[in-house]
Amino acid sequence: MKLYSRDLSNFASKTRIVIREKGLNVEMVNPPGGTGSAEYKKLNPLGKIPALQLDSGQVIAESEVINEYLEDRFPETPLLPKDAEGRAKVRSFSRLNDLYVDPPLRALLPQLFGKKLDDGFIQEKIAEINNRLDQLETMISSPWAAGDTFTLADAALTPTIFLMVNILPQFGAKGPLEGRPKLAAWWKQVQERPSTSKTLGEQHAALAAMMKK
Amino acid sequence: MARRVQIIGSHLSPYVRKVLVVLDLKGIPYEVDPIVPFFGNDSFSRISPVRRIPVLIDDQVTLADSSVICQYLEDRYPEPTLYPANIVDRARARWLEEYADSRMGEVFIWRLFNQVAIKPAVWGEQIDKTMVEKTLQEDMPQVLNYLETQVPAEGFVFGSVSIADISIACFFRNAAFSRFQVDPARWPRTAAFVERVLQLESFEKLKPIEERLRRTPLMQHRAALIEMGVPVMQETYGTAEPRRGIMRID
Repeated sequence: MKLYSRDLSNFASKTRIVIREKGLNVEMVNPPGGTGSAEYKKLNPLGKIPALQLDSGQVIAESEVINEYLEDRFPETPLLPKDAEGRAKVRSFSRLNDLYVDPPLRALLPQLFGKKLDDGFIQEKIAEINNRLDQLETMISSPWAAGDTFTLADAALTPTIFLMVNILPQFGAKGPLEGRPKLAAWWKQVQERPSTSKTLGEQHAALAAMMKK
Repeated sequence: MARRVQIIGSHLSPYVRKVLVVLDLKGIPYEVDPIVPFFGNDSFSRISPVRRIPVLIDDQVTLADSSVICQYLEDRYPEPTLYPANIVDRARARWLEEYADSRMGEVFIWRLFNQVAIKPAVWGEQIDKTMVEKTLQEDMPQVLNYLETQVPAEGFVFGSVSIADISIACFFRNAAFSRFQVDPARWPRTAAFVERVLQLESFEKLKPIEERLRRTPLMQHRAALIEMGVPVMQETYGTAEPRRGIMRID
């Protein structure tokens, strides 16, 4: 199997964490010619990362779909609980991350690539991020996001919170952990695993390289 | 089960429709609170932090996302199965569900249904004709071109009916409410596929309810459902005045 990925992307990192948790042998490569290239769009018509290419050649797109596939295919190190309620709880975290926590953060990223964003727009997005993080603070358990075991929920949240920790202060906003003790306790713990520390290291190096430019 | 499954959300939402069809296929009785998200009260924010519908409440969980809800129903009530048994097919089914919910949601709902139905009715705002024109000329054909490569000439995508067929078909009801019909000369497979899926009894049952609600002012939806004999929740998460969600929808 081959994963088309980028080190900085929180969605690609989410899948890399799962691959490492399960100890899978997956080749990780950058999309050939970049995500917008014709060559990559032949593999994944939406031109997004991550995308997982199976040995049969078939390509699976969308981090959440890939992670569920890996969970189905390699159930030995389970990252979803067995009971329906527990599974739904884990998936609720992934959806919150993918559909609601990420988008306002993503909207701010162009400024890091040199595009000046309107100040009112920035404040609006930061307010939205804080709203989402407050919601997360009410949902998150201990020691792991959904309770006693590390799950797909932790894999989803870790790379996004990493970006928030590093990026929000650059917009003069408070960090995501400030005033959120449950989230802060989770964050302290979640970075310590081999799967997350390796992935966060890659994200960190990619972020540092980008900031130097 | 201690209490009947409760679904908060209007029959006119494609995401609510997806959940209602899954409940019906699995033979799970339910009752509804027919609100549109803009009319949710403070308690609605509590059960649906992002103020979206549908929300499912049962004896075990409160869930606020249609995909999470459908997967939960599949895990808890496995028969009949609506996710393919083959792992690769299951991933493809989830992809098609995600494609429908995000891409078709953007085009069919926010760029078309929202413009021609929600904006004038809920907010009293003008239709953005330029956007609607672009949607009809460019975005809808692009979606249909993709679907034409994905749907089968006969039957369902994965043999028996699955979450992929249901998710895709749901959006074509809202397209119909927006007076959009698939041109069978241009997209023969998709046109026939959508017709086939929407003829499932679980969709057919909902059609008269949808038609009635479409012609009924929002504040009278509850009364209309009761009149039609649809089980309605006693309590409501609705208000009389619309308020915008955290996210802008236009």
